[in-house]
Amino acid sequence: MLREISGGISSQARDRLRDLRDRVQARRREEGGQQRTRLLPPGIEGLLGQAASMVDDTMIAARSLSHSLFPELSDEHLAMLPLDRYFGAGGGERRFRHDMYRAARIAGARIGPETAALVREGVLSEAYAAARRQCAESIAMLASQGWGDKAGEDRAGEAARLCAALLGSILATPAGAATEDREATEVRAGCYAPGLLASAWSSVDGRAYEPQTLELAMLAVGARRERLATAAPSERPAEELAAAFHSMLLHLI
Amino acid sequence: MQDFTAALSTTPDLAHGMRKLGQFRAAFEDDARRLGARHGWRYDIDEQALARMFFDWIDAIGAQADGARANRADFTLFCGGLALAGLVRSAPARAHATGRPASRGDQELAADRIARFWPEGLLYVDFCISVVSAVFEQEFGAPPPLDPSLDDLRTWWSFRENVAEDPALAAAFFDRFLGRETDWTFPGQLGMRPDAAIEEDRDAPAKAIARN
Repeated sequence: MLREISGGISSQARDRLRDLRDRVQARRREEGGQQRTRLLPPGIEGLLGQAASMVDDTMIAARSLSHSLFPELSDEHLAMLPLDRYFGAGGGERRFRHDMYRAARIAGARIGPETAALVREGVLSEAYAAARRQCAESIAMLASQGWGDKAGEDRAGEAARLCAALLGSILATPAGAATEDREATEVRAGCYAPGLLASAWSSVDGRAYEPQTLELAMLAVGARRERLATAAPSERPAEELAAAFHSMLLHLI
Repeated sequence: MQDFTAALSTTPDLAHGMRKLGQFRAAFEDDARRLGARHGWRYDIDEQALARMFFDWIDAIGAQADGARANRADFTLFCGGLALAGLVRSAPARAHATGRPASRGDQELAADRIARFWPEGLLYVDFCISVVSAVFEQEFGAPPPLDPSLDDLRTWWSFRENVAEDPALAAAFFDRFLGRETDWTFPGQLGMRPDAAIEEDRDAPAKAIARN
């Protein structure tokens, strides 16, 4: 059913379900050891508890099933595509959301468990639409016949512009709060930027994705995430974010 | 050092490759494995600290890149010194003793003493000198000559003590290890180097070897 409704709505719905699952799992852990005060009659609380457990079990089962049916989409087999494949004529928004969400979860797990709540699939949907509007020229260039003939520095420049538009949109949407501090922006940049950088890297040098690509992208972003977080709220975020991505790309390709 | 330099020398366009995070990291880890095995140490590498050092180094080089056009050989040495200062400052390696190394000759015993004194410092110096030597071999036909003070533990006492106070001085010590004059006041400034105004002499390394 979620596939039939629009990408933005379905990704927000999935974010909500993930939130629900996280709360249920946290509650289960709390209940593991200690007695707590009952707020509802035991019968109703028991029913609600069973319902919540069913939601949790169903989501765990659905995740296991999707990994067994589509092993190439699991974390272990994450295969990021070059940017032009996500933004190509066929429309790769769903795959973009899926891959970038997975990459952000992997990068977030490296930063710390507290990042799990900061990674939202919904912002990726909005960022995709924003980048399509803002970077039509770069997107057309990435998919053009002469892309491979351009100098590496120019290819990196175009890919960096697209990454900047995507990350700029992602960081402009605070995670749950009306505003967020620099440190939180830095952490979110550390989660989302590696996937974008890994995909841009594949676009620029034309090589197929390999696990080391995301690994190195995480290290590069980890070294420069402060700069990304400073660039995002600056007066010229597109230019400054693009310069940061460009610099990272030039020392990866 | 020599086997690592020889291995690096086979990497095509090493000077360019060392400005790529993947190659830089792989080379550093390779040197840590080789050096650790030789002297009885295991080095744990903080990958994120190494990556941060790498990009800071790239920025520092980029800010003074015009120097490469004036005197490429000296600029290569200068980049090596900046890398050493960056490694000392960010300290990405942590050494753990794994046992006594096999018996060896006098020169290796001297290196063992230095390795016991400051295993991380030895790795940083070994890496930077090896890379610069391999780049010199590729671009100028011979590595720069090493100064005898490199094997002297007293130099290492001074080196460790000074860079603990000011990591930028590592760049000046790097020049000293390679027998070059240096500027101790502004070691990170290319324009202050004694050789900065000298036109590049592509035969300089070979001449220096002949002199020694």
